[in-house]
Amino acid sequence: MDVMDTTDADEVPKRRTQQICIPGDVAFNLTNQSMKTVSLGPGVRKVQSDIMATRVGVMQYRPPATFFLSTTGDSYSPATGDDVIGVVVKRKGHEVSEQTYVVDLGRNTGRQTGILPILAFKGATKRYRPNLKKGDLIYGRIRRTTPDGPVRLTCTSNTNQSFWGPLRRTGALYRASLPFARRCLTDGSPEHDMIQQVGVRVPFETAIGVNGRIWLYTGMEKSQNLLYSLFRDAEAAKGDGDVIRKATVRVVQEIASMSDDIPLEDNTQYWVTRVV
Amino acid sequence: MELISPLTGLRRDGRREDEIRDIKCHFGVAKDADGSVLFEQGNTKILATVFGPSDAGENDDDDGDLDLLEDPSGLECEFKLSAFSQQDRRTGQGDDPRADEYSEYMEMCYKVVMFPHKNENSVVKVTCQVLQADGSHLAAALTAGTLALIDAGIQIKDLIVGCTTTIIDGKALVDISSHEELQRLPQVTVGVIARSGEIIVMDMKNRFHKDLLNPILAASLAGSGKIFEEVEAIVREHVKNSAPNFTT
Repeated sequence: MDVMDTTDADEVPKRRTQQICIPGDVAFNLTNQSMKTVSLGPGVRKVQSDIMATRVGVMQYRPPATFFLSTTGDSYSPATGDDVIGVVVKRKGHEVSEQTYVVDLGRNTGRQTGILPILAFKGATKRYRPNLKKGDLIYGRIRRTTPDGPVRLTCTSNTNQSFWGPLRRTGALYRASLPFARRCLTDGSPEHDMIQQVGVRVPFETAIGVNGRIWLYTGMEKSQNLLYSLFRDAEAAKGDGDVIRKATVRVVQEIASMSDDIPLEDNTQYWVTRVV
Repeated sequence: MELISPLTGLRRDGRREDEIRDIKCHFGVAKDADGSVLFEQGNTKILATVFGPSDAGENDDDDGDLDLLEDPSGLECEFKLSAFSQQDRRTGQGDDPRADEYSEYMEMCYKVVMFPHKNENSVVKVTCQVLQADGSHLAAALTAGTLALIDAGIQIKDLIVGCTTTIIDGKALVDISSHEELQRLPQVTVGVIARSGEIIVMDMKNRFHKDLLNPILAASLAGSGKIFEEVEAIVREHVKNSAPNFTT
């Protein structure tokens, strides 16, 4: 990664540059640019024609007019549209149609929770819906964040995709840093390639939450443990593509050549009828 | 012993009038906190921690009208002088009155550079605890608190830096140590936004003639500038070292 130390206001570059910023740094000056609307991502604010950093990180520019800051911050801040893995804490409410699950989204201090209506699952009705207990995992999307209310989640979607919903209890939950989780979702990153490569030889399921939680499931005890350790090594590699590639090859070999794996018994029935 | 040696023209710790002490920062030392920094300015060591933004809790309705007087800025600051921080252990019957004052100064400073929270009912708590007191406590606390806010990833407009200055025989000494503090000389502590030179907070100790104000203030701003340079370099280095952990 080409990291530059410029602190003067630069003209908007034609290619991507990486500029370290601390709060108050002016990264770009837009007086010479003809941008009518500028799209500002996290960590950045616009002061007249300057793009200024409000946190510490690497300033990013994406054409045509998007600016944001990459940060190491490990504190997840819920944002609408984020796909997250939540841990069910409890169920609230009286009327079945109004009940919600209180779901923990994970934070360093001060537990960040959101609410998920118990019917907000694809195909759920009052009589037939997931019955989640404390500690169960769900993969959902943040529907709304308002200043004076709780974060609202949902596991339904407008499309036919049905990957939202409860995650099998027998899967493994890997707690990752936010940057690592983001890299796993970014096309072209070593972490993303790692996931693709594993998938070629090993059947597995994974859900990646941008709140720093990654759920893994292979259904077999040993291969799941190996997969978990692969993610752990990949995160420790801190973006080093070679290290990740080598680890991936090693783990895939080991899993593929395993003959004595033990299946994980999963007797949980999430979807039930007539729940008390 | 004199503050400035007549022989060498240097201060007791070997510095010149306009030289600041060595600054070191260790980020993320308090794992439980959202942001933390162990800030060392010479022998003054401050542990600054930031918690938040977190739920501020329900408003106590029994307060009645007092709710209106409550500050909705969502910022709570605390300045603490540890009992073991100075030469004599302070068993302290009550709170040091200066601690409350310094806490308020911290709030005044950080409020200026922080943004109103996305959530109405959230609060950020900044605590600066002096572990080793060798002068310029408020100044160091202001700087340390800013660094902790940065470590916590809380958005701020700019960095705040503090500097304490004293003046003797017409010479302004910048970034004073505890020996220089105990001399009952005029002292001025400023909390500034170093880049613009804007003074947010100014604390004065020991009455002095107004003619001394300008020289002391000028030296304070110059000293703050130097402290900011050091701190800026440290932060950039810290970011560069964490750079591999960013998203591409």
